[in-house]
Order: sequence, then structure tokens, then C-alpha cells
Amino acid sequence: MENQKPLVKIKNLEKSYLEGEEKRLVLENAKMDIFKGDITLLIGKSGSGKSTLLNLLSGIDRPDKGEIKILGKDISKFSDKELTDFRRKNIGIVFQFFNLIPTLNVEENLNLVLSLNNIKNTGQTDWYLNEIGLFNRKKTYPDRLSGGEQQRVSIARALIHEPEIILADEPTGNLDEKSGSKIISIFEKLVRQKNKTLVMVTHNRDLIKIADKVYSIKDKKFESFQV
Amino acid sequence: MNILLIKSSIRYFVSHPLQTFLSILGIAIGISVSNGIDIVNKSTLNGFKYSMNAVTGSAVSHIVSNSSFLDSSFYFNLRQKGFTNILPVVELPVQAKNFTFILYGTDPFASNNFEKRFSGINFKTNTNISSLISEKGSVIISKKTSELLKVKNGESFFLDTFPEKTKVKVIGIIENNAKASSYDHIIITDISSAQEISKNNNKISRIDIFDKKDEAKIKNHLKDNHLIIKSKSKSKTTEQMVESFQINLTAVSLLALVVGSYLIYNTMSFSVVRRKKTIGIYKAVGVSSRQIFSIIILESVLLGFFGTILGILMGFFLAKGLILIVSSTLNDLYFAITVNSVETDIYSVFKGLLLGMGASVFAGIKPSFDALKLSAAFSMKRSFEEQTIRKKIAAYSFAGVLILVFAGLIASINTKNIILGYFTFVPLIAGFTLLSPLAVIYLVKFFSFSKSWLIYKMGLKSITENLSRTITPITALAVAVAATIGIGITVKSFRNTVSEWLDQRLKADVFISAPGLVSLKNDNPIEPYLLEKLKEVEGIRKISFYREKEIFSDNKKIIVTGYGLDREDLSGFKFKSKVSKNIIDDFLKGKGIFITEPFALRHNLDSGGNLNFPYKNKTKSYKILGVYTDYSTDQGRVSIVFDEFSKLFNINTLSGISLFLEKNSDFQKIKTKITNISKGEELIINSNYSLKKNSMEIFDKTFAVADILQIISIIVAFTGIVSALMSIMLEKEKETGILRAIGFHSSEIRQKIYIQTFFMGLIAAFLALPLGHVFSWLLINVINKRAFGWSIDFSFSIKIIIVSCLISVGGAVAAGIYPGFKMSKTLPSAALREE
Repeated sequence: MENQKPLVKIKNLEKSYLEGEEKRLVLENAKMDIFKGDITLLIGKSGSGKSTLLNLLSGIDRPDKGEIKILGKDISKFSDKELTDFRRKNIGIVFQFFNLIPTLNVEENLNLVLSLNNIKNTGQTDWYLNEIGLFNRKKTYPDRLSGGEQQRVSIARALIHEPEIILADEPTGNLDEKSGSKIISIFEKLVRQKNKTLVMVTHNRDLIKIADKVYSIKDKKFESFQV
Repeated sequence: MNILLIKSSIRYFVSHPLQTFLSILGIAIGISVSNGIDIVNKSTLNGFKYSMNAVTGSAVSHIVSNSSFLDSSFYFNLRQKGFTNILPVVELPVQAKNFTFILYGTDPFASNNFEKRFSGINFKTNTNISSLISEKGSVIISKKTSELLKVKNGESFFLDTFPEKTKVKVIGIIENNAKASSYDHIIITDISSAQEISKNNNKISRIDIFDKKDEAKIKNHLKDNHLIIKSKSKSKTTEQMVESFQINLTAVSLLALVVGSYLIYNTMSFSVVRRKKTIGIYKAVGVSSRQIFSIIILESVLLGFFGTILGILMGFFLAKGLILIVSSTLNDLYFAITVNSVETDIYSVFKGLLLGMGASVFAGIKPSFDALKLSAAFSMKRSFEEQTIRKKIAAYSFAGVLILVFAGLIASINTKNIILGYFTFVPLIAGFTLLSPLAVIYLVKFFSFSKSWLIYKMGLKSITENLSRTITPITALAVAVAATIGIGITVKSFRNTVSEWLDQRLKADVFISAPGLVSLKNDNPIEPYLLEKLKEVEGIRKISFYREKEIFSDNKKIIVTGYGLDREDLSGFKFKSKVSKNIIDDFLKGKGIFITEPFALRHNLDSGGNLNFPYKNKTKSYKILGVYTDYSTDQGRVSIVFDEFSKLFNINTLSGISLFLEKNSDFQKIKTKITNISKGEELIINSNYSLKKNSMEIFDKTFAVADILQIISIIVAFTGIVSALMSIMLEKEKETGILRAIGFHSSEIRQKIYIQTFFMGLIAAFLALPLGHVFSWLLINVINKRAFGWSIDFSFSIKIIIVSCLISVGGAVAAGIYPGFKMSKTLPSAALREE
């Protein structure tokens, strides 16, 4: 696999934030390669920069320095419009707090992503709803669902338009153990089945067992270890 | 546009019905006022214009006399000389059942001109035109007039021509059609009946000329003081006459819309702030910036659309309520007809739509850009919004100062353009809005004197903690209150100036005039014999008099007053700039004239210049000796010594006589004596006190509409505060839940809200004070100067300031009652529940 060309190549990445008047460096000279079809785990302490990396990979935040090449393209040089178009097509995101659109029902939350990508719904929505076990709740609004159910919808939303990369920010962090395990098994099944690349940030070391590669953040850099 | 995004937006607004309703209501009230005033303006002006057109018909020009009336014999002479395309007209204002109409008398059988005049009018079904001549006192009225006066064909009613009342009989009703509506303010009769009603036998008001070719030929037959005026110039004069009045009314009506726009801005800002997380998710799933911008603008458009439609409907009903007030003011100031029905057209609806939608889109622009600027990563962080506004305060304030300087530059442009004058308010309000966040922060610091009272501290601090939410309603309220202060001080200053002017000018003890239908126009004559008789009355020390006449000069209508005053009376004239020492002597010798400030402005004249009057088919030039202050009419006035006036216009009747009584003379006794010697002629005899009182009553009535419009803008601002507090309530639900959970009583939550709203109102009042004074300065020194040219002395009023502050604080606290009550009922368990 190491001979394969990486799907995501991160080089000399630097990112800092202003906290009041002070600048706080989160990532410095960070490097990482992510390969197609892999489940990559990023573990580390709170505030170490895990979520920052996801924001940078999804293009909803920009690096101060360095290069983020996804599918051979350096997204750090993209304009806002190019980033949006790129994200819309190639990236699916699963958040810790689900972040479903509260004013759209379950089915519409999934359809929104399809329609943004001009993909005709030829049964994908129903297929995913069946897969996540919420077909009968498709007209339900997010605030009527449990946390686990919301997260299942969120996973379906991240996958429905067949993006290359799925980014997940502590997807079980807000769920009980049982719901968390169920979510992860659905997630893994769908990602493997669709041969997608998953980058997941988590505190949960139990998830290492499903990962192909695990990174941790130490001294503002990524450190990898083979599973 | 993505249909799911639209669905999502609609559901957001549907799920917050009260806020959505309040913002729709805000824009609806704003639009209703501007549209209502637009309809009233149009209805009154059109009512008059239609009546003018109806009485003018297809005539190309008119022969009039600058003295008083034309002799009927002159008309017959012209006909004998072969001029058949002419029609004699007697026209005078009359009242019936307190409604004012124009009595139009003409000769129904003057060749085919009568038919030509009334072409398109359906008389034939029930009217025998010949009865107009055969039956004295017979009239034809429109169907609407018959409904208004509740008279049917064949029935009689009374026409009031002061002092007389004449019974007239309806012999025909004009059936409704498009043209017939022009006759709603006109009562048609035969010329001899009209002469009898007006007590002017053998006199006619004018002769209408229908053939342009006749004009030049007729000119050779004109007598002294006769002149030919164009039909078009007559109606143009009317438009010019009320132009300033209507522009001012429109400007005041736009005030509610400006305040309403803040409300839309407020709603849209809140909707963006409240959905910052949703917008963040949109961005995360790939919704483009263009789509986000479009959806927020679309929301503004939709809110604006519903608000505008509702506003247009409300405007129609408001117009129905305002028409009588405005019509009565126009009646007092300008012309004698009562317009009591509103007319609206597709243009008014379109104008309302454009204005409402325009204001909504404008108000939605910044929130839309704000939505774009929310980065997906930060849009989910709570303090982002407050940090942003605080970081930008210095930049906002600097921009505010620059915009205020720009406003100052616009105000200082030397022009007569009233619209540009009103445009000054745009950068002024914009600059003020940008400076207000800084001012609010300092004022909150200023009011933070209690260190120990926790609720006080929390309530006050929540204003600056939620600055991005509180600043808009505070500013909207401040602008509305500033307008109240500005208009209040302007009206008070104007009132004081007029009152002082009346004291200075009305020095006599008794004033005699003939009754008329336009209160501020006094061209009904008093016979000169009265003057001689008055000289014999005991108890009168001195007599002054004047004659007022509307004359035509260069196709313009001007009011000329011939004064029979002495030096003492003339000392009451206050001149605008330095004038010659001999000014009074020169005036009394007829060497020149005085003009009023509005006249100087309207005709671009100044002292030292010359004014021509038509005289014996030529013109006579008079030097303008001085420009003086006079607030009797915004049309302007030319004053000339009576002897010269009499020679110029061949008039010896009077409009008014002033009597200076000897000490110990009794007003009532003198009044009785005057009534006894006036040969039954109806006269209005006023004491100095009652004349001043009447004048001030007319003044107050003129500004009644402004008061109503101000109250409406305060209501809009009040709606804004309720809306803002409801939004804060939703956003702070969790925080309130925490406070309740840690032991705050619901009464303490309410107290916190009331303290917050009290200070929001107080801060708005503090902000409104300087702005209101700048408003009044602009209204007095820029708008008034350009519109009317009057000199108005600024009057500071502590009463207006106190009342405005009370309105501001009271309104804000009242607006907080419901949100405060709702917030205090927050259940900690529900509010603290996670997603």
C-alpha cells in the first residue's frame, strides 16, 4: 500500500489561532499521507489540533502555511468558490453534534446533498435510510430523533453523494456506548462497502481495531503508528 | 435556487411565527404610512386638478381681469364681434352640508360650446339642460355628490356662500363614468343663477376661449387689467402651489418606512445569527456562498413582499382616515374643495411594492454578507458575533464620522432642491447608526454606578454582551425618538416664530374681514363705504386696512396686498437683510414694493430687484425695497401701498380693516356698532386675542398629520424592540435555564429584562437627543429654507425632550413586558436539555 499514491498528502502544514491578542500555534510543519479506502484514525488530547486538521481537510478553514493535496490538487490554493465546489463533490462530513438542518426532515437532509451535486435521486435516499434503519422515520424532523438516530442520518448524508473522503469528528463522542458501537459498525460497513476513505478524529481507543492507520498529534506534528 | 434551501428558510420563519409577524407588521406599517400619504396626496391634488380641468374643459385659454370681475357686457361685445367659440363662466367656492364645492355657472346655449365643454358626460337620460335657464336656482351635480349630500333628482338643498344661503334644486345628475368623476367637486348651474348666488349681477369670473386662433384677435379688444392666461398654466400653478406641502408630507411619511427598514434589518440579522449553525452546516455540505447570499436576500424579499402587500392594504384604510385631515389643511391653506374620497391606482400599488421591496432588499444586504462571512468553522462558535462587532467598533465609528461629514457637505450645498435636502437625512442616519455601538458602550459604562445590585448589573451588562442583537432596536428607537424631537422642536420653533410675528404685526384691537372659504386667503371684498362710516364711530383711535388680490402676471398667479398703513403699523415689518433708511417713506410714496421671504424664494428675487405688474395692457415695474418675514402663506406675497394698488388694479374694495381702539373702549360695544353700520353685510369681527387664537388653531391643524405620522413611527420602533427581545429570549433560553437552575427566581429574571429594556430605552433617548436637534436644525435651516424660505428662530424645548425620553423609556419597558414574562417562565429542565 505504501507504494500506492496517497489520496491526501499533507506537507509542512502550519496553523495557528488568535486567542485574544495572543497567537496559539496548533500545527507546525505537520505531514501526513492518507490512502484510498483506508480508515485513518486521529487520536490525541483535547485542543491538540485534531478538529483543526479536519477543518483544514474539508476546506472550511485555511492553513497559514503548507500544502494539502487531495486527489492531486492543492486545496490550500483554492478560492472560496473552488473550495466549496470541491467540498460539495468530494467530501462528506460527520460531526460530533450531528448538525442536521433542523428545518428539513430526514429525507430532505439527505436529498439536499444530492441536489447540491445535481445527482438524481434514483433510490439512493431510500437505500441509505434502509441501511441505517430509519426508512420509517424519513419524514421526521431531526429534533424528534435520538442522538444515535441523528448520527446515523448524518453518516448517510456524508456518504449519499459518493464522495471520495469522509471526515468524521468524534462521531460517537456524544453517544452512549451501545449507540456508539452501533454507529461505528454501520459506518465501517458502509465505508468498506463503498470503498471510501475515512478520516476520523476520536478519543475512543477502542476504535483502533477498525482502523487501517492511526495518527496521534504530538508537539504540533502527526505521529503515525501501524495498527 | 435549491428548493430544499427555500423550504428550510420558509420553515424557519414559520417556526418563529411571532417574530415573523412582527417584522412583517413593521414593514407593513412603514409601507402603509408612505402609501397612505401617497394616496392622500394624489387624491387631494387630483381632486383639485380634475375639478380644474372640469371647469376649464377644452378651453385653450381664459380672459380674466386683474381687478375683480369681467363685465357681462364685455362678453356680449366679443360675441357681437364674431367670436363665437367663447363661453362665459362664473366660478366661486360654495359649501353644502359642510363640504366645499366649486359652483360653476355658464351659458348652456352659447352656440355649441356647452356641448363641447361637457363632451363625454351623460346628462341625457334624466336631464333637461334647458331647465337650467328656465328654472332659477337649478343645478346639475354628479352622482357621487348626490350620494354625499343625500339629494335626489328633483330635490333641493342649500348652498352656503357666506353670508347668504341659497336654496337650489337638482334638475340633473351626471351618471357615473370615467369623465364624470371630474365633476365630483363641481355644481353646475346657469350663469344667471350663479351671478345671483354670488351677488355679482352682470359680472363674470372669466371667459373661456376654445379656438387658439381667436386669442391674438381678442387681445386687441381687451380692456385695462384684462389679460389672457393659458389653461395649462392654471393647473400648473396649482401643482406648484401644493408641491412643497406634499413633498414635506411624503418625507415625514417615509420616516415610518426608515424605522420599518431597521426592523427588517433586525429580523434578518437575527435570522442569520440564530441560524449561524445551520449556515455553517450548509457550508460544510457544500452550499455555495452565492446560494447562501441568495437565500438570505430571498427571505428579505419574501418578508418585504408580505409586509408590503399588507402595508398597501392598510395604507388604503389609513388614507381614508387621513384624507379629511389633509383635505381640511389644504382647504385652509390653498384651495376650496373638499376631497373626501380616496383614489388609488396601479401606479400607487407599484410604487408601494417598489418601496417596500427595495427597503427590504436593502435591509437584507448586510445580513446576507454577514452570512457569507461566517466561516464554517467559526460559525459554530458562540462568541464570534460579539467579537466581530467589538473588533469593528473603531472602524464603524470612523466611517460614521466620515459619513456625517459627508452629510454636512450635502446640507451646505447652496441649492433650492428640497429632495436633496431630505437626502441629507440618509447619510445623517447612516453615520449615526455606525457611531451608535460606541456610544452604547460608553453609555452603559456611564450608567454602571451600582456595583452591588446583581440584577441591575446583569440587566445593564446584557445590553453590551448582546450588542450585535441590541444595537439595531436601540438605533431604530433612537431614530424614531429623534424624529419626534426634531419635528417637535421644528414645529415649536415655527409656532413661536409665528406667534411672535403675529404679536408684532397684529397690533390693532379689532379686525374686520369678509367671510371666505379658504381661511388664509382673504379675497372676499368689503365695500369701502364701511371705512368712512367707521371713522365716525366713537372709541376708535386709528384705522388701517388692506386689500388682497390674486392676480396673474406672466401667466403666474401672485398674491398682492395693498396696505393702507401708517409708519407705526409698518414698524411691525421685519426685514430680512439691511435695507435703506428711507424704506418706509419710499413704500408709502409708492416708489417700491415689499416682498415676503417665500415670494423671494419662489421667484428668485431679492431687494434691489424689480417686479413687473400688468397695467393697462402694458407692464409697470416696481423696485423691490425689501424682503420681509411673513408667515401667512407659503405662496409668497407682494405688498404695495394701497393707493398704488388701487390705481394698478382698479380696485377700491377692501379685504380687511384693523381698528385701534381708544383706551377704555369696549370690544363688544364697538362690535355691535360695526354690525349696525354694515347694512346687513356679513362680517367677521375678531378681537386681537381671538384672531391670534384662530390663526394658531389653523397652524396646529396643519401639523396634526405630522403628529400622527410620528406616533406611527414610534409604534414601529416599539415593534422592533419586542421583536429583538423575543429573539434574545430564544437565544438566551439556555442561559436563562442555567440562571433558574442555580436559584434565580422568575421575578428576578423579569427584573433583569425590565432593567435591560429600561436602559435600552434610556440609551435610545440619550442618543436621540443630539440627533433630534440636528434633525430640527436641518428641517429649519435646510428644508424649510428650500421649501418655503421662512426665517424661523430656533426654540429649545425641555418639555419636548422630557416627553420624548418618557416615550422612549416607556415604549422600551412596555415592549419588554411580554418577552420578560415568557423568559421568566423558562423551564430549566427543558432549556438545559442537550440536542
